[in-house]
Amino acid sequence: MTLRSSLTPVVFLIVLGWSALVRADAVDNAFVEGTEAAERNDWSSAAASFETASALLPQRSAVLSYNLGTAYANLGDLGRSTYHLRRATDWRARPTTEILEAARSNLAAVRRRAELDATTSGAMIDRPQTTWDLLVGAIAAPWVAWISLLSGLGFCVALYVHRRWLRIQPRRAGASRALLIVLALVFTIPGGLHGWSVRAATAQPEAIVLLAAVDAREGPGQHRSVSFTLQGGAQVRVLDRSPGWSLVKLPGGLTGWVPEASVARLDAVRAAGSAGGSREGTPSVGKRGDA
Amino acid sequence: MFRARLTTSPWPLAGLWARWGPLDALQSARAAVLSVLFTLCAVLLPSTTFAKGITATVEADETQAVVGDVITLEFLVSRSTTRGSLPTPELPQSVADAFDVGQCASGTSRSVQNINGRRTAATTRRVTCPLTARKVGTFKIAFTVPDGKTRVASNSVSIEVIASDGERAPLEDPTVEAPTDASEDVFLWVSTNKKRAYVGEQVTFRLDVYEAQRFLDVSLRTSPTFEGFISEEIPLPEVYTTMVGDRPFRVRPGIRRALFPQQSGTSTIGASELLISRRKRRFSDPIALEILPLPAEGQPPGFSANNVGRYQISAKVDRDEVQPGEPFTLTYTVAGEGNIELLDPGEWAELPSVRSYDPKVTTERSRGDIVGGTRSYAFLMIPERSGTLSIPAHDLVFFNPADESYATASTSVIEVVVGGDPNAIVRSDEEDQAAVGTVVDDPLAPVLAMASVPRDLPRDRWLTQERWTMGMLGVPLIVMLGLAGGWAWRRFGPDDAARGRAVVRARRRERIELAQEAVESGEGFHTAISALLQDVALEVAGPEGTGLPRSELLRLLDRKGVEVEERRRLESLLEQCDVARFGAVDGGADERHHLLDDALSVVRMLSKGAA
Repeated sequence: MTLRSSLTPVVFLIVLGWSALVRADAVDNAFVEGTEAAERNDWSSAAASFETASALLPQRSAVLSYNLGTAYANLGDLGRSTYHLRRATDWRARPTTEILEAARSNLAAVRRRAELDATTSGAMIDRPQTTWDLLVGAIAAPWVAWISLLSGLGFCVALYVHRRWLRIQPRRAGASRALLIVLALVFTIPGGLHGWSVRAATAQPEAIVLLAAVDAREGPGQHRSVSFTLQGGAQVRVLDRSPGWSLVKLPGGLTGWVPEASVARLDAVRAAGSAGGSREGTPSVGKRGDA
Repeated sequence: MFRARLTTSPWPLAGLWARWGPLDALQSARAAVLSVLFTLCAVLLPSTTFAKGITATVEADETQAVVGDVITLEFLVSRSTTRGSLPTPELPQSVADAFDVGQCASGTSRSVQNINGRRTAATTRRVTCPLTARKVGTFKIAFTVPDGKTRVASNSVSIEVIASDGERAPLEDPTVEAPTDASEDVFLWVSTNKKRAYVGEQVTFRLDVYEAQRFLDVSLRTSPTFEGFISEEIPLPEVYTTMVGDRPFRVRPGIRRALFPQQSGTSTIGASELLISRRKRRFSDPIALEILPLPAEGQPPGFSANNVGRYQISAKVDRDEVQPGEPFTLTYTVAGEGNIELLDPGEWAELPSVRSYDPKVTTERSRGDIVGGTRSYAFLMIPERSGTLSIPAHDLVFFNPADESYATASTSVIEVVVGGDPNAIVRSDEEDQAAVGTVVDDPLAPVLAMASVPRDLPRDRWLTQERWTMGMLGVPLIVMLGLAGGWAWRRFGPDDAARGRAVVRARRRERIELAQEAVESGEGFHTAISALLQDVALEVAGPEGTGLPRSELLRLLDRKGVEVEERRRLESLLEQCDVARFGAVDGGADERHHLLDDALSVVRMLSKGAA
């Protein structure tokens, strides 16, 4: 083995590590710049810096999404503010309790403003989130998947033990039978609800209207007549796609075609508008969500 | 016809010749005189029927029509021969002046009859023309056809054309809802619920089609005109049957309108036209209504003429305790009878220190003969200062035509408690306008400052959706397979005897393996062979052989049907083993190999016999 051949992987590893280090520094630098700009109430610069950090960061970050959403809220951009604050509360971003509380508070303030705008402009907005919505969101979390799956496997084991136990102590099978029932219920009910929730989220992903007001049309095309107007920040579900257009549905059932760039899916790994930091950026297509 | 016979057929002359025979001078003179007389008669007779055998006839399906009606005229030209062509009838100019002649259809038919040896023939040309009456009057229609040098005139048909609606006088009493007698099988009947109304007061107009028999093709060709009215459609009732005079009529409600007069004076509802089978028409009578102006006495200044009817007004807020800057909705609801969509609610009171936006107006019409409903005005209001906000009563003034007086409906005073710091300053309208889209009203939590962004490298979760789905589907599958396997084992698994045989086989295999391992060394070989043979013998002998000495066992094998040769070999082998075990004779490895082969052979034979 020559000196050259032995040094090559070392150099490669050094370059790789340096690249990652430099990248990490750029994210941190942009984040700190954004924070400093926010302290100066320079919300445009803050939003731009946070967008830069978000574009460089390859994964979700609750604090980054929260700061970005707060910056947009201070700029009055209710659609993007709602979008990023909602991402900050997503369990996949691993928010801390502090971030979660602050994001929910800001989300409520943005929501009130969006409702006010919708009332004055006549635009349509989704109904406020209810306890049921939170419950449905919690059911889609991975811990429910683990619990249901482990309950199922435990049921198999318990059933085998139960039948062996029946041969030894036929009169003392009550406890094992009760355990079997509990495991079967945990397996079927939370498991079924989790499957339904994940399936609904996959088939009709949630999205947020980014622009201040978006005309929902009867078909995909600017020549189609306007059915109604969507308020920025409204939460919709994406039912279908056509080149450049998305068919969205409000929780109440109203459906209409909107330009694809005007809505952003919440399950996307990369935040909408992060590519290039443009406020009019096209939302990226998210990968299939985890269970 | 007679003339044609004289001129075209030899038959009359032949008859005369047969009657009078050869002519003398006197007879010739008579014949000449008769011929002249016949000729004169033929000339003097009306030419309509005896011109060279050509006849012309005109027929009409109706003798009375309304302007615009379509009448079908049929022109017939016939001749009692099948030879030659028939002339085409020519219409007089007077027909074209009074009627619009449509597309005519013509056809020619020929017929030959032979009755009792008499052969008759005829040719007929039939021309059918639709005529649309254009002028009022009585018209006689006839036509002529050329026949050689003369013209044959047809009979004449008289058609009376009457006026449609322009000259119809308005109904004397339009409030009569149904007719008392009927002269036609189908007609229109119009009515209103009143013949005098105030400006803005509802007048209900009805138009019904009365049919004595079911007409498949009846349509309202022209709707009545409602000039000077605002009209609103109201629901139509179902078709029903009623007696008009002594005849049953099916009544099809055609139009129901709520009319709101817009100007005083005499307003006329125009006549409408019914088309029957695309040919006949019937007209309704116009209705003249006397529209009264709203009384000046008691009329408030700026009163809207659309505020006629009977109304109530109420006001409510969606919350009565709010914070400064927190929006609430103030809703005024007007309910009642009248043209509510054009109702003028009046000026809304402006509240100090409250920002309000243009109202969202919604109207719900009631379904019925009387137009009305509810109309809501929802104001979004944002109080800017804390304190008690008093929303004053709002007055709605309207004219009640039933009482012929003006009335006022009022809301009650509403108080909204605006909490928070009474000295807090909320932006003015100008500031608010400048700040729209830039600042969110509610206080926002600040951004979070950190030295670095926490990173959790994205990991692929082990429990992906696919794995979870497979696992969830796998659990019931495992349970079902386990239960099915248990059931199959119980159903098809071994019994005690089979398990006993399996134990014996396993022990035999064990002893054979032990013997094979010991065949070279000789240590334990004979013991294993002896035990193997003993086991096989016991297996053949059954449970009763257990514990018997060897000689008794061999006798038992004899009773069990084991061949003598096999018994002897068994006994011999057992004795060899005994000698080797308890004596000092050991023939070496070769002998042990032979002994093993013999023992295995005996074992196979005995096992076969036992099976």
